[in-house]
Amino acid sequence: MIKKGLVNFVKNDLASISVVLIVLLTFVITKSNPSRLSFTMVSLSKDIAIFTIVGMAQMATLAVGQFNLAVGAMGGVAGMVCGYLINIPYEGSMNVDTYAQAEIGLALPWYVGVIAALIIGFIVGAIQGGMIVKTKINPFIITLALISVLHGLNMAVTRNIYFRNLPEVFKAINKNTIPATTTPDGGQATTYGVPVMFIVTLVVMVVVWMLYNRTILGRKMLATGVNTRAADFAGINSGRYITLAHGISGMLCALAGVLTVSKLGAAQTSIGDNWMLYSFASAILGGTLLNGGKVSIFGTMIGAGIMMVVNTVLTLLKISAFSHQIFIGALLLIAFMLNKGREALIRQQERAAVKVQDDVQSGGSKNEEFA
Amino acid sequence: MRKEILRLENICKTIDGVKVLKNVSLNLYEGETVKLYGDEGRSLSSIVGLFGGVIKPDSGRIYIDGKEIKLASPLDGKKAEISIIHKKSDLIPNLTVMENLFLERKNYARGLFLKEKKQRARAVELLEILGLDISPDMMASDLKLEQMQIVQLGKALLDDRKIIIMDHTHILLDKEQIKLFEGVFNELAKRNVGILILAQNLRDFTSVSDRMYIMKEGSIIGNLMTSEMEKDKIIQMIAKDYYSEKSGIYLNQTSEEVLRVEGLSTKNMLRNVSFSLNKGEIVSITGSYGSGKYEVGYALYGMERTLGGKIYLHNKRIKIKNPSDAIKRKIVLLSFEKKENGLLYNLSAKENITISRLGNISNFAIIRKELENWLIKTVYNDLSLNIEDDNIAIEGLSLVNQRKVSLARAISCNPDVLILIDPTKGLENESKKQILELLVSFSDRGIAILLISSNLHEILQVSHRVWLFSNGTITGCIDRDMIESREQMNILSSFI
Repeated sequence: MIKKGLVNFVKNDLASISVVLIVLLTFVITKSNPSRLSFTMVSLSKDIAIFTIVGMAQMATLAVGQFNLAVGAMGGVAGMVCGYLINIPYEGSMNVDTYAQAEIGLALPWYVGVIAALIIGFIVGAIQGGMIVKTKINPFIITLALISVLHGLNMAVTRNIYFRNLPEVFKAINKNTIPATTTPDGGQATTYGVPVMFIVTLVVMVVVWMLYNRTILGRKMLATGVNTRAADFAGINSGRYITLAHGISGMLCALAGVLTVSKLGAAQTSIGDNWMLYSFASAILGGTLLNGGKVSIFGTMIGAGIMMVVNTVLTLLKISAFSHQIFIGALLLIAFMLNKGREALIRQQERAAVKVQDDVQSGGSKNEEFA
Repeated sequence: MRKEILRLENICKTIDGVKVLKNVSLNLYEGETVKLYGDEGRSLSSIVGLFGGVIKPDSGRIYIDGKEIKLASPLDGKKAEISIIHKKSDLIPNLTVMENLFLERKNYARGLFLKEKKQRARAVELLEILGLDISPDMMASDLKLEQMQIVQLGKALLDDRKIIIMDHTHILLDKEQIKLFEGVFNELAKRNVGILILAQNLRDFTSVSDRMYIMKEGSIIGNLMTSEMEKDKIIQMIAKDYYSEKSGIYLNQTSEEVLRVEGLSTKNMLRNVSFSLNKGEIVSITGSYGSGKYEVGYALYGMERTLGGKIYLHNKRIKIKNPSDAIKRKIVLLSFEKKENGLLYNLSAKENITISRLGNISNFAIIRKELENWLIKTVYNDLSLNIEDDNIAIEGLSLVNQRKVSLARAISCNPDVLILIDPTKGLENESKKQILELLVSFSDRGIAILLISSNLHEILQVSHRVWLFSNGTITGCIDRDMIESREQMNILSSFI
């Protein structure tokens, strides 16, 4: 069992990217100010938690051989829905300080907001998938158009306000760690703990892993991945599973959106603006194939880890935030090249295996000819 | 003595572990029309690929005008004075007919600018010679398949090359068009052009040919002059093995009807197809490319929308909207028309076999491993299949084992009707035999098999009945007695 796990680990190319992650992390640990290290690490792990889920949202569509450019827009919409439902309306008159602070909100229990956001995410995703299946228009066009539609809708309906007055329990998803970190009066954490957010992500990862490795739905979604026609021949209603994959993607976006609201302490329309590149990069760095049919859940977390740690490293090196995008873009290119190499490697191994068999067979038939 | 313009010497080629060309030697003299008949589309295509510079031979030599040449790239092919008329059009779809005709003709251009008037005049003239009633400004993509072929012939005429190779393996031209081609070929022969026609049927272009090569399973088994070209002799040559082998496979006669189809039609292809299939019977459907033989299978399996027609299973009328409906009704189709459609290449062998039966081996959508392993074991026993590692990737299996995995998936569904499309395509002899034996064992078990195939040899070996398809409907039928009796050669010859 362990040996098999190890083989898969190497096959997914997780070994090499894990090394990269470890090197980068070591750099962060040695370079940062010891008094701020625990704060940095806790904050980093929250970022990793959120972007692992964003990466898995992309992975869900990649698995069926498609992609979802609208991950950020979906997360944004879900975040705002959640914010509206749980916001406790601000009382008092508007002044400059409270500008754009929401006086509206339903003040519902936090879990109602979260569940509603997840459902909205699933529905929006499923609609996107359904449109792709029914119209047969390239997913690029449809998801690109939906970015604009969803983001626009979000801005128009909410007029770009902030839902800032959120229940304490909801904020605790961000603040609390296990074990609790000590924060000397209002300052930064000085001891280590695993954020609740990170634990949420681990649970979601286990659920997603179960989905792809143990259930009919997962198996059929993967089967749809490489060649939808072959899947149809096998009696799989590929359209249904493509729609479902987009729904799952939307739901994961919503979850990431909700976690981001908790982290920022406010729901705002800019949530999700920078997700698209990260989502592709972390999924593909982690070993999910761009052409579909293969997913790597743990790898996605390592991929997200690399992206987030690189951000931290750049900050530590005092490289201007304006130039971070250059590095992220370069990483994305590397991720795609890795994808290409990985596909070639898989094909090469398989061809070698077939050749050995054929040699054995043709050797046999040669003997017959002589006889 | 006429000059030899083309010679192949001992060409061998292996593709995907299958020997498609075995020591092929042939020659072509100037002004001569030679037909190369082959039963294996793949072998013929690789000869075309050889001249096009797309396929490199493993061994052997090619001589043109007595000089040995190497064809390493498509450009070499163009330089080598060879015009190829491809079975699938090599016209550029988003250019007009005229633009396609003059694409490579330098003398119809002045520097970077085209001499459009001159081109147009020549194009109109050409289309008239070719009997094509189309405008030179028509988009190539709007042409029908046979029209594309004729335009390609026009291109070959413009080329003024010494050698023309025509790949006729999959095309269905009507009598008029064949006549037209024959006329043009005669004309070209007078201009000392050598023509090599590669065909999978005996009928077309036999009358204009001076000689005919017969190729079987990749090697040339006969070189006949037209004078000795009597159909009987050729058919005997082709069917020889079948008669000596047939003893190996024993077929039961059956009478209980399983499937009946009445008046099946689709939008593009099928017209009023009616037939019935008995329990344990193997019925073959054959015909040329575009005859509708594949579409029958797809329509029955819910992959193609039907316009009219009734399907009865065990005398009960059923409707099949999609493949999963069909599988529920115990009708399973496997297609190897294209290699990648038969299997899910990213899944393991085990996952491929159980994919259509996941509902039966799971609780609340969660797959139960022990049930999955049990299903695999049962199917392995059924097929006496032996794959050491269930979790092996499909690409890691040999071609014949890949086929068996597909068959295992079909059998896991307990089918009453099994529709197979080109099940032995691309396999070697020994592997073919294994697959055919499996089919016969299925039929012994009472499964009705609809075998849609282009390989006459295998059809003759395992079928109770054979239907010939053309223009979207059944146009001929022979049953086992006719297949068995040699006197019915004439019926047989109408098939090939």
